Amino acid sequence: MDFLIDIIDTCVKWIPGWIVNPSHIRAFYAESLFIIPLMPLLGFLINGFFRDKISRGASGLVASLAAFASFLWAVLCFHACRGHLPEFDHGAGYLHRMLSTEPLHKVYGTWFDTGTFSCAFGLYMDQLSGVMALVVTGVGTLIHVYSMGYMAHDKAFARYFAYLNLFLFSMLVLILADNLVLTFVGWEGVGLCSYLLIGFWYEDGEKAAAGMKAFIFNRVGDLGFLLGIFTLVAAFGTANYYAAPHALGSYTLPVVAPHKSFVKDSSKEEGKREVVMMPDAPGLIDYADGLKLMGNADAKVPLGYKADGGNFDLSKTAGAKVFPAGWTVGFAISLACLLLFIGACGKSAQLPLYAWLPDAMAGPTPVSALIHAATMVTAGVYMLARLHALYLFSSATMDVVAIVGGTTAIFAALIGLTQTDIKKVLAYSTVSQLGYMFLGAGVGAFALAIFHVVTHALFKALLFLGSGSVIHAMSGEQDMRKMGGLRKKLPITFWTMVIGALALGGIVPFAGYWSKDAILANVLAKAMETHETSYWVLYLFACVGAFCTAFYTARLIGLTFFGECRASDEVKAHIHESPPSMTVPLIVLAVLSVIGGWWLHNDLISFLNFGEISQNAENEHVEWINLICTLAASFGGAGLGILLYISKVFVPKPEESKNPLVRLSFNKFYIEAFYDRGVTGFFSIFAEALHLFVDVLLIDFLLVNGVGKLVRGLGGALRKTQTGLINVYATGILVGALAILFYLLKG
Amino acid sequence: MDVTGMPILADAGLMDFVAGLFSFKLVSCLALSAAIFSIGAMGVLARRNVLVMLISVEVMLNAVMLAFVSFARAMVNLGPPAGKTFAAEGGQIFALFIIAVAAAEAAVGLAIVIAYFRNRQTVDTRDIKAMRN
Amino acid sequence: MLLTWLIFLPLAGAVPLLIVRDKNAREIKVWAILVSFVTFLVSLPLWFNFDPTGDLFQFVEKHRWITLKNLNAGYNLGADGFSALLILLTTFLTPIALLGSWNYIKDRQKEFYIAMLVLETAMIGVFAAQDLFLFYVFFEASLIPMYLIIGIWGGENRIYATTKFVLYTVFGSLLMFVAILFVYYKSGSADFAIADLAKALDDARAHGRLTLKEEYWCFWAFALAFAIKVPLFPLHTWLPDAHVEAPTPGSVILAGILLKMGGYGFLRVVVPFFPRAAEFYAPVFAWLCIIGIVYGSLMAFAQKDIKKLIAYSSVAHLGTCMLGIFSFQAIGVQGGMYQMLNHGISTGALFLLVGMLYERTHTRQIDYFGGIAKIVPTFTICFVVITLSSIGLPLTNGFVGEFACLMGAFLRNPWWGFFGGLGVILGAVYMLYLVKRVFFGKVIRRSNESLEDLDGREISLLIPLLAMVFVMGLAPTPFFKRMEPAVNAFVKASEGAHPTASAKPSMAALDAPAPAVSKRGDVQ
Repeated sequence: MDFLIDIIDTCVKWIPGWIVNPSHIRAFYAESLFIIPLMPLLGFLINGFFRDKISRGASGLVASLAAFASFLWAVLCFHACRGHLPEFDHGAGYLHRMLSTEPLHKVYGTWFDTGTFSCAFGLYMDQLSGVMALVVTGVGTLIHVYSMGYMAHDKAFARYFAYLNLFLFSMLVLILADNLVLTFVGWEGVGLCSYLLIGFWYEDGEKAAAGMKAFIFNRVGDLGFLLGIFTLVAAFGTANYYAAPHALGSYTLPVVAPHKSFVKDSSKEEGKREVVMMPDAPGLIDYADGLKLMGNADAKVPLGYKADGGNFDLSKTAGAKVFPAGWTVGFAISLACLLLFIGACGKSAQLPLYAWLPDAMAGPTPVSALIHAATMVTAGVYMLARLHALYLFSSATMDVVAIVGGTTAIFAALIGLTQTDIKKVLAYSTVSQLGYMFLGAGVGAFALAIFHVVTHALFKALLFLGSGSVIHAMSGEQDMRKMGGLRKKLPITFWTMVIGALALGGIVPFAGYWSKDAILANVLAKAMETHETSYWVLYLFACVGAFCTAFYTARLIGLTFFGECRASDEVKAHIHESPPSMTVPLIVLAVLSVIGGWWLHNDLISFLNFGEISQNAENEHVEWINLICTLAASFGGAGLGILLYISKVFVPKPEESKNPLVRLSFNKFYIEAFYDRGVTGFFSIFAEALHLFVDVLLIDFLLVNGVGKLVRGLGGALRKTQTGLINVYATGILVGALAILFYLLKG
Repeated sequence: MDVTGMPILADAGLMDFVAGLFSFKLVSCLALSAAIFSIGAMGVLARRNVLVMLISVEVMLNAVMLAFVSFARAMVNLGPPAGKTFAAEGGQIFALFIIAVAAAEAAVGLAIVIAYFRNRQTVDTRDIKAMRN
Repeated sequence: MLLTWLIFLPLAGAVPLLIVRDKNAREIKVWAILVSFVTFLVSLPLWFNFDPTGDLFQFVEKHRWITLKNLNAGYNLGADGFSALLILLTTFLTPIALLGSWNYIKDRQKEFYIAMLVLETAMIGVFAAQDLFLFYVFFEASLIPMYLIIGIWGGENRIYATTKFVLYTVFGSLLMFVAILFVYYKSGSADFAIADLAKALDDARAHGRLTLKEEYWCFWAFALAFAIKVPLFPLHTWLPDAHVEAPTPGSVILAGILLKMGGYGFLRVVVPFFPRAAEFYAPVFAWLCIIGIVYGSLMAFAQKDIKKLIAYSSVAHLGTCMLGIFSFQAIGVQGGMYQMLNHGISTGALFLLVGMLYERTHTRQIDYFGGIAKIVPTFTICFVVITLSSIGLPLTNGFVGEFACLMGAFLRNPWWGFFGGLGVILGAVYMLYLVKRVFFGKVIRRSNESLEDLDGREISLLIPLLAMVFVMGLAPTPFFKRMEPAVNAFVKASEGAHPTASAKPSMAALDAPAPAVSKRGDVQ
């Protein structure tokens, strides 16, 4: 590995060497962060504006090159932010260099500034966003290449690549943003791309509807996200993660790593109190760190207020207009975290907002691989990790995160057991794996959650691309019951998918094992530590989920590749291995799925640098108990799956099953039906009824036109007095004149 | 003579009586004016013939004119109220105005009536009710 | 003199049209468009020469107009951030609307273009007038051309729609007129200048000459007039009818600018005049706005006519604007104002697009379409982009406004933020549902297969709108900077009776000693 790093090292120093003084290399990379999202944006613009003129080959090439350039630049920037630079090169060893990090942070300009709240276009790359950017651009590039083969026969080739590039752009904005609002830009942007790509074949109304469903479910979450931002802004007055870099382009070394925002000024000691200096215009994480310090030490509070066990009563402060009496900062943070987590539930398909993800499989398979498995759906986990400093303040929210994650993990795994559509199995598996990530985050193991994001991105993208290869070979057939025996005909797809399956199933030493095992160990440790039943239950859920995962993965492989081919003769005749543009990405991902977990499991966790919070379970008992449990679950599930579906290939007919459990699982616990029919139906009927009864009948007919009718009626009544006879009028005049005279004389 | 126009008849001889006959009495004039006005008004209200109604309107106008002239005459005797200056001839000028207006009104009114009669062969108000409802 | 020029340029441009013969239709159109375009050019100094750091009101003109013994109305013009931006919106949208009516208006073209130009004069006048009497005159004057535009060039049910529109509006504005006179005489102001009146009212309040009860009554008289114009739930039912019947350019102007007079009225008159009442009734209005957002969205969802759907979406969007304004937080007011501009752009564009569809098919029924994305790709792209702007996707203009509005609402009361935010979800529901039914799926009608895509004229009139969608989404700061002094003045005025130290929702305020909690609406 050192060899590779040396090459990158050379590049990092060499490239900007042309342009800038070597001592400003870090500034150069900070300045150039924008190149990472810019590349796909350019690709989008080219493919979008010239979609009719550009040739197919050029279109795919432009898009793939854009993704690849973005990947390369992300590698360089990531490397730069990990300290492989002259300023940092203290001659220390590899590990030291790994740990001494300084994020790249650059504010390019103001986006909007209303006077009381401003938001900047700023990019920020630290280890966390660096890892995510690498995953997104790396897997993204592979999937772009794969798509050139997969979509070769599609009419709207350029449109597809334009959307794909737009997605990469949005995702990179989401990841690299230096404030929550800009993250939200990416957050909504990926939702839009997801909408466009799920409904890519819009001529099929159902696919367009699936795209719409995804967008609307995401929007439900987005409202939570927005309100979370508002809460944080109300409490802290900012949505930035960190304080802005001191001066544009110039960087100073942190005095105290890893929290660059804090400078402990020991010269101003007052007795035993430590003075904590906040940076100018601190960000949310700075505040969170400050609050943590206040909670720990009897420090002078940077906010100008005495700490009261970390709780200020917001109702006595500037937030008074916002917060009802009795709200504390702690409560505000909890609320914000909870609201943001709703956003994460929407984006990352957690209960109860998961129902869009299975439908999202209507999109082209590479899209499912990129957006609905590897990258977009992990945005929620990323957001939690990004804000972990806040989440750690709110144990209640953390519990909610863990419970939702654990429940989703087993829930989706149970549904996955009986699905027959190959992509649906993988979709529910994705939901389930995302549940594991949230479970990990919920017990405080944010680094492990991100680790699982990375490994999951590798093996799930592999599985999806493999299934795409299968579907491609089967002329579009997705029902596993009509496949079978494909291992001879699609050898590369078969072997790579087996590797992916092993990784997903959590079999040692493939990628999935390392991350899932570590998360489970943390859950177990938490359960042992807190002695709370709920965490024991969650651990049980997670183990059963792991069992189910291994089982349905084996089932998927068995039904697809083993036994006799159950396809029609016509389809059979066309079965062929996919072209190299599709198999090469498969092979790359397969290799990474084999070694990824082992390669990264120490480095990634240590350099994600979440401090003391997310450690591996130290307790040796925990390690062993967990190892036994997870291995038992994985091998047990896999063994059962092999027994049922590989050694003797049982073709399931879940829709005819009498077993209520099977029916429940096959019908997805009827939740999706509830959404599709119940909620949608209620909504439209309610809207129609409201329109008819309130708008048309009550307001318009009764009130508005009612007033008109009343006036007309009165007029009609008064009209009768107009006889048209002069004498009557004259009498009226006389009587009136007399009345006035009488009134005047009397007054 | 006091404001009420009530002469003192004590010691009145024949000459005084004759003089009294020619002396001006506002009350009498106003009473006459009111009587004529009422007759005119009654004519307007009660008669069905538009022509007669027009004549009645003229009668009412004349009654008003009489009242104006009477007040003007009374004003000559009384002088203007304290602090005010105005021409006592105002009432007479108004009377002239009314004569002119009455003439115009009669002309226009008659013209309308004749035009109406030419079209409808009636001047009975009971038949003229195009404005009904 | 700039504002006077702006106001009377369209009117002067309409005069030559009076003597042109009707058959020179082409010349009439070109002339009218030219006049409105020149007006736009003339209005540009409002952007470039407007100094956000300068006086609150710029381009001020003050002349005597009606000077009677006890009625002293002046010809006072001036532009602060609100006025300048809304005038720019007017001059920007009018040429586009006129160009959009090129093929739509077939008969009585001369009269139509005269009406449009007169309308432009009235609209600019409303936004430029800084004298309440003059404001009222222009406010009412704008009704007349709109009445004719809907009533003559409208659809089948146009008479009903236009009568409803006028009666609704006049009902409110007559009440307002009474209140204007009452306020004028009660406050003892020397003239009708809005600033003077506000000052005199403050004085009257301070000396107890204006009782709370009177203030509440006057507030309602004014507020009703503007609430009808906005329109706020439940005073909105004229809007769908008027929109459905109005010709395309009429709809564009109606949604794009006329509705803004309502919000502008609240900003300029209602709240600065009656801060106590406004503060007291702010929750009422906020909840009406919220109901409007949710209800308007639901209504939009239930519609079968595209234009009606968009009309109801206007109810929801303007609910968001007004929610921001009634938060009385600087950011909310800025958002409300910004959202008004956004709504002018995106809803104007939507009406134009629907008009283009109508010109081709002579129907606006959603059922009639389906799957036309394949046949008219450029049209689809434009429509979808505008839709995204309308539902507030980040980096389009809609997001910034919605974000600021909702943040303002949230800062005032978290529940307002939450319920107002439901519009974020519901907006996506009805707009995407519309897009899906019109553009996606299979082509269900053979006749639709021969639809023509946008031609050069149509694209050229959409491009400025599309450009503004992104310009305002990516660089809103210049807009906010121009509004800021006006917004601050507004927020300060809204705190009228009980000025507070800072409305800034920031930790920075924590460093200062905590200000005594201002009890807004604390009135005896």
